[in-house]
Amino acid sequence: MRERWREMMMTRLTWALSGAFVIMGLGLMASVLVGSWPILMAPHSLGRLLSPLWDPLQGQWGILPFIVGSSVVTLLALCLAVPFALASAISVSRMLPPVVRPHATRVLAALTAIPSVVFGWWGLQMVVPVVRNLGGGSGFSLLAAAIVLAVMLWPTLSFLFAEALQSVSPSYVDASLALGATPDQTLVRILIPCAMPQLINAFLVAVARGLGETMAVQMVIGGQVAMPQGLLSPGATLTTQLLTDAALYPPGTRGHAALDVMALALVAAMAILVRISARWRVGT
Amino acid sequence: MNQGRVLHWFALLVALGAAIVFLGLLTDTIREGLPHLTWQFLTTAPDERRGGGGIAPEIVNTVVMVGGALLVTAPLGLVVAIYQAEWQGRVHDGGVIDQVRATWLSVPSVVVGFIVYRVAVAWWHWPLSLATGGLALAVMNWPVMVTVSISALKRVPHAYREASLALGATRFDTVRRVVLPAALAELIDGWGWALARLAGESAALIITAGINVSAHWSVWGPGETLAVYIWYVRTEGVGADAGGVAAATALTLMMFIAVTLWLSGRLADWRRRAGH
Amino acid sequence: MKPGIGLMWLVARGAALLLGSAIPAHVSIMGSTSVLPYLRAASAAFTEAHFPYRLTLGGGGSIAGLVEVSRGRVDMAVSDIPPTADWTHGVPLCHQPLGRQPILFIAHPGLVTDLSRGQLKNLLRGRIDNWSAVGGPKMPVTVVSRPLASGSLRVVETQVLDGHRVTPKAIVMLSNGAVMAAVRESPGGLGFVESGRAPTGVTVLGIDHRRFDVSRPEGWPYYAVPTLYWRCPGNDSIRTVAHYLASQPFRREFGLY
Repeated sequence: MRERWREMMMTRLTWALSGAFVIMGLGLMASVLVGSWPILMAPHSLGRLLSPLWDPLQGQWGILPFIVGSSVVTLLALCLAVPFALASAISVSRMLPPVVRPHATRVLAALTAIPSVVFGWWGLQMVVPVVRNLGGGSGFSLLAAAIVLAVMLWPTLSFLFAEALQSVSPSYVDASLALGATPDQTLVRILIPCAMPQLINAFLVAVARGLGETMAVQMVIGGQVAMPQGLLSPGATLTTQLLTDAALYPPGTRGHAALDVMALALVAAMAILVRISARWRVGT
Repeated sequence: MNQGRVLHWFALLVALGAAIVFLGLLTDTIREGLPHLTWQFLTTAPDERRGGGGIAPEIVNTVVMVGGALLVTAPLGLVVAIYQAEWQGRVHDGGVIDQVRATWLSVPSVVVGFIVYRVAVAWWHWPLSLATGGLALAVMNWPVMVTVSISALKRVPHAYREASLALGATRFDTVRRVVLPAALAELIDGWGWALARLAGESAALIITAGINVSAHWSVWGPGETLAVYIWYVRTEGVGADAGGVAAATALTLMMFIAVTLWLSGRLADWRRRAGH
Repeated sequence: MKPGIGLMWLVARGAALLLGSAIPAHVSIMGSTSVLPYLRAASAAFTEAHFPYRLTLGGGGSIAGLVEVSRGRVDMAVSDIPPTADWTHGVPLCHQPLGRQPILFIAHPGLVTDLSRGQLKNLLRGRIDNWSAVGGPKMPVTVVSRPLASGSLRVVETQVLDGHRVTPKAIVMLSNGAVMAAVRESPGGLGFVESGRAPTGVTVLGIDHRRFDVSRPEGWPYYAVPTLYWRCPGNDSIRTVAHYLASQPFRREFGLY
């Protein structure tokens, strides 16, 4: 009897906490949506939001430069990081002797935990001056932000890529090698295609991390609110502008909705990424 | 043996290049920070008048807030994971809980900081403090804990559960006596990693925990952490050795993270061996 | 699900109650970061000398401080900008100035040493985009500015730009220190900082033949007045803290005079 009772209580507890979890998660997203309602419901809201003019004191809420900034920085960072990360993952999972392998994986996992302030600071000291010497100007630029972000994403991507490659059943690899394929051919024809769903998922995780990164990017991107003129031009992303203008519109002021709109854009982008990633997982 | 391995060797070369860049980043921090990293630096409070001083209160705040957030969210996350993995029978990838978890996981920490501020400070009238900052960290960490727990539970072979249930054990007993001990090593690994991740958080804490330390420590007192102190010293810091102080603090933080990861790794290994 | 939320609510209320009764001497200050180094030093000295008191400093900027203090979420705000009804909803605030903080105009070394106010205005607005137009070398101007919520930006906009905006092409840095570093490192850099000391590694510009002199900061015409605000009349502990913060002689070390 007591066991039945305990079982029932446990069922209720897990159910209640899972419910609370879902409600809190939805609440987080709902609070952003409710907060941005005044701007979303204003006339011609979409046209004004997608304008390139950001001057909230004059009622200009164009967040297009930040959407462009976020997209360009994240994509460029991934273009830089993916080849290096793939190479590192191949080295860790195929080249290193099996004794060293778990340690290498652990080191990569440890590197993912380095705080982003450290990267931002390194970017200020090393990346910004290099970009300045290369392209003139101040050095604070989308390119500098992308490089810092790429270095920051490299351990995460390498770790996830290595896990993806190791998830492929060794019997496929052995079979391929036994049939006379070279290790290179096995890698390109068997290993990578078989791991593709996990590789894409790892890529999406990195995209999400890149889009959400604030501190490291803020320190090197320059924070210019006008539309960036090129990779060497300063700019801003949704997250950095959120941090910059957070002080202007604390919760409870009318303009706070503008910040909520940017947060909403980020959360919506994340939700879309999650959907895409869920689709890819179905195939595995 | 090396025939047809050109791509592999090329990959190794590229990987080495990336590792060297990363190593450069780490050595930069170590070179600048190590001269400042003395016993006195670790055990005294910051000297606000002349700049510099130590970071003892920041270390305490970091350990308390991060540890507190983990202690609260680890069981909460585990229970939600148990509901999905053990009670529902299997984890629905793309189910409601899973989608909420994945989206919540990727909400930027600044946004979490703002929402926690609005709820805890504006509605509940909590002060900017260790408690409020801990709450922000906990909100950030709950979905991480669910993720970590689910992946740990998934690795427990189904045969274990079936055997236990076939012997007439209830689901509760199965989870407690069979599944959790088998998953413990993975859980410890995941907790250590989450602890390390939380320790580096700064954006949300600047808004919720305050940016100073008090001579009289309390959970309702100001709660500047190591990561926030690095940010402060780098941006507003006074004193000629600001760069060195920031580097030494960063070094301390990274050592804290490394020790956490190493300890949790050792504990997990020990559990794994004990289990076999 | 409902009990879960109710429970959370109870815990939160309980904690708030406990807090309300247990520590009457907790004073929270939020607002401008430009006097943060001073406030950190002064609050450390204050809590050292007055045992039961606890001071928490929060960032967020001047406007956030004013909004939060008028809503009753923090006890005191520190702001470079006077409150408007838009932020305070008409709640009456008492105030106590901490002193004057000079705003200096700085340029990358080797460009120019003196500007007229008109030249400075056109440079900051982006109307002049090359240093050669104001007697310097041929070098594009990189304006380094602060976020819209910054008090020093407001002062510059009213006192120098006659209400106009700094160019949208400006690089925006979150803090004084970051502006200083960016101007020091960017060739062609021009910016403004709140500082009572002569910063090193940059040219401190003379404006209309007036120069900033550390030994006589009173002669410099551009300054912000960081001020403490609290809900009138405030309790004893708030007034004690305000009086203490506004009267410490070592304010000068931090550029307040």
